[in-house]
Amino acid sequence: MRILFALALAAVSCAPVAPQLARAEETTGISACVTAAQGRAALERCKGSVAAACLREPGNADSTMGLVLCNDQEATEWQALLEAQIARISQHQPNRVEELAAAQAAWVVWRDAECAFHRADAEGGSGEQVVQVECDRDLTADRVIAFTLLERNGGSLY
Amino acid sequence: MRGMWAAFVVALAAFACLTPNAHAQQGETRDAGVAPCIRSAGASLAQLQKCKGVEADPCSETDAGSTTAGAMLCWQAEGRAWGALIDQAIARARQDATPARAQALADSQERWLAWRQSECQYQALYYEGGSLARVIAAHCIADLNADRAIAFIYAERNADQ
Repeated sequence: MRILFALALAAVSCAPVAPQLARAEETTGISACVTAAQGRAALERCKGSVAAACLREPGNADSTMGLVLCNDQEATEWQALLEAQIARISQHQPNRVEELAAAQAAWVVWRDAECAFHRADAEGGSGEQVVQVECDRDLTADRVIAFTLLERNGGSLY
Repeated sequence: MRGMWAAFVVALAAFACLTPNAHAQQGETRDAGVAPCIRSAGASLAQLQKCKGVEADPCSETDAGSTTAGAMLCWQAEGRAWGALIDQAIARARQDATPARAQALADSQERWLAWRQSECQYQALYYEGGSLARVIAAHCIADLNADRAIAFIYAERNADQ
């Protein structure tokens, strides 16, 4: 029995360390940060906050997998906020639904092309995935920040 | 509705082609404009972003700039200043780029222009039918041009850090 336990322990200790995602309370960080942020500068400071917390977990900052997962975790949160914003704005501005959908579709096409350009900088290295997910995170965050200001300004950015 | 939008787009295109004289009539000092601000802004994103509106804001406070048509000219001038910075940044980026990277940049820029047009049509529609729609469209183009130029310049100035 002791031998089995020792073997199991050895197996666990030799297994590759899986990146640890941030604690549960931090996975809702972007939404809370955006809600609390007053003004563009404060909103800008939300960018990277969830990824930074995740990267403080042991081992995450030292591995490509950790960097990808932590940034992807944050990108997913920004994406969820973006989808919720578009649904809300479409509901509140029924006369602009088609134009909003067209603008959003064009933005997605640009985002993909822009991130492909950023990936070209990584020149096929293992950092390519990290560059891709950081690019997705940042561009999605910028879009959420713009829509947040639009919503807070009664429907217009200008 | 489609006819009205077509007229709006044509008008927007026509105003985008206005000569610099139209801008000079606003009485701005172009030397205190976007390009000098960016030159002295350093590598900080916050400092670079402070250059947004550096031409159009004072221009809009002049007598000429306080009218709807004047405000539109102010924002168009600022948009052109940022547009020139984008062109310069892209030219610099292409200099040492591999063919694949240069193509990726060209693709991205083409799609960014398509998004900007679509986005600013959406933003302008908030004032559908009103003369303010043209000001909003010009402001939107200037704003997105500024964001794009700042993104390029920030990346360049922080490339080695």
